[in-house]
Amino acid sequence: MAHFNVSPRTFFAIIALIGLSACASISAVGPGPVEIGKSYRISTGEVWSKYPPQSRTNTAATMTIDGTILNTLSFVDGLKPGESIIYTSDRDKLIPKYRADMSASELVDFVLDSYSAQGLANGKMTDLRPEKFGTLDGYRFDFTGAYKSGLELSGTGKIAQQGDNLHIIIFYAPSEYYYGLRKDEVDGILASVSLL
Amino acid sequence: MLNRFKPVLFRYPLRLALLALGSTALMSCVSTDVPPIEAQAAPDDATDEGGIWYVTDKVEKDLQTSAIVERDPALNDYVSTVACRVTGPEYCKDLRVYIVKQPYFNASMAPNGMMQVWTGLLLRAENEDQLAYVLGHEFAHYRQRHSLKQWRQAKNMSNASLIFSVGAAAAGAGAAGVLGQAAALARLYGFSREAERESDDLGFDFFVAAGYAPGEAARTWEYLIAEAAESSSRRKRKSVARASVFATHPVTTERVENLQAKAAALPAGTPRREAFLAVTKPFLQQWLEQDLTLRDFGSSLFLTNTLIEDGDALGVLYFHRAEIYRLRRADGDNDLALADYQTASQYDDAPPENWRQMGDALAKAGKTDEAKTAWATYLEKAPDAPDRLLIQSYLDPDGA
Repeated sequence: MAHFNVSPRTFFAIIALIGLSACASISAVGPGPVEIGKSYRISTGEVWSKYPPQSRTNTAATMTIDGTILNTLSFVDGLKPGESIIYTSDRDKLIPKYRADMSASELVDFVLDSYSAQGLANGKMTDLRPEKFGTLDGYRFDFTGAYKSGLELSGTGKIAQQGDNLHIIIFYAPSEYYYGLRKDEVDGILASVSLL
Repeated sequence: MLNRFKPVLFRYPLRLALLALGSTALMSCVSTDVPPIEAQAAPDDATDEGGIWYVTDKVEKDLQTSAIVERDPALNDYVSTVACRVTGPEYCKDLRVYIVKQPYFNASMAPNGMMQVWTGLLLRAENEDQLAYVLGHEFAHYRQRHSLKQWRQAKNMSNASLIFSVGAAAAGAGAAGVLGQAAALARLYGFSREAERESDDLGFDFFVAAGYAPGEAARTWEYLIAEAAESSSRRKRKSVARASVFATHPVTTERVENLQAKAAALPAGTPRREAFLAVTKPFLQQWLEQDLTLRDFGSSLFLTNTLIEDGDALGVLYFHRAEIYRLRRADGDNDLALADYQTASQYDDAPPENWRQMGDALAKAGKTDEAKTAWATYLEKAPDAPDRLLIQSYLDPDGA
């Protein structure tokens, strides 16, 4: 899910490779409803590129309009207790894992600590408030941070537990220009969540 | 390997050609018997050492704009001053210190004079003397040109292509980011046992000459070994102090005993603690939070208990120990966390978040009224808290 430790140059190269070798796996979605995994649906106001699920990071989908280095919207559908949203091939590496009894602030810490473990620098929650996730009691949060290269980023997201499982939607983009450019669209998407 | 190599060839053809030429010229068998580098000296571009410097210059350029560099002027001035004390005024002009916001115990000095001091080291050093010893040790690697020796030894063993690929990665061709580059570069610092022993001895001499307390050198490594033994990471426990990036400098009992013996022959001296604490204390909570992102609860507990024994910043430290218990979630940890939140609340330096988490822990224990009192105190202490609306919903569920 998180990939802050990749330099922009490398990231563009990866995206180019993906584009050349696996065009069929990326689809254009919206404007309109988009189903995320098996649990919920969102609605977009614009056309987004949607990447397929990544089982290693338990990511149900990743979407972008301008390229993932300029804006990334990621979705987790029903993360189970003990699971993580980051991948490491190092079995001995200690990484944040989801627990069903986490409080609201702990859930956000879990998300941001996971991103920090993947390279987010100076990650800081700047707002946390109750907000419905469809019919579920959920939480909305904002955060700031930086890519290790020094580029500052802003983000927002929404989390909710359904039973013991956790849904996460998280958006981030460079603070300068790109975050503001898609903020209204993302606010609309976050407000559009409905459970399947 | 070739695909890593190619972009660098396109981008830096002259320098890499020079490095390759230098390497080819030395192909038969290069001398690893190199004298110490002179102060304010730089190698010729047309040498293998010039190529190594070029690669490290590129890494340094990336580091200079990185978000992981701590730019606080007072902290940077202090650490640079300590570094210059151990290097002496002439070599001081050759070094550039970067404080890197990473929670591991680590420091390094690249062949071109770029010195990295990671915040995990500053968090764990008990005093200026321990910091000075590590910096002296790193300076010794630089002065004795151990990277160049390592490079040439590798070449003589026909492993140059491996090392060169490291150089290419460090130059930006690999998939690594700034830290990845540094980690790749660190393979150049994977010094031999002899080089480590030499740096221990020379670093010790530099730091004693600068007036530091001799016994603190061994204590630095002793602490690392003790913390690693308590790690939650099985690999770290097994390898004892080899699990951090400081694996490039494996710490052994033999090395500790060597430093203890050298210190025993000298007057004890008095460690410099006051100035060190004054400059590092404002960062204590931030560095502890970074340490927790590693989720190595065993190491974190050992570190925090050690700092609590020192008796400074107890509000911050009891809060932090409570946070370790909260995140670890072993049986009984909520009770341990609650006790530490309550202890922290008796100290003026406890952060406002202490009361928020104390409220959560009380709520988990079924003590709703006490939880509300703690949450209310949190909002009093942090009127601009980012989660104010959430906490207000706890205090007044009907009004939310």
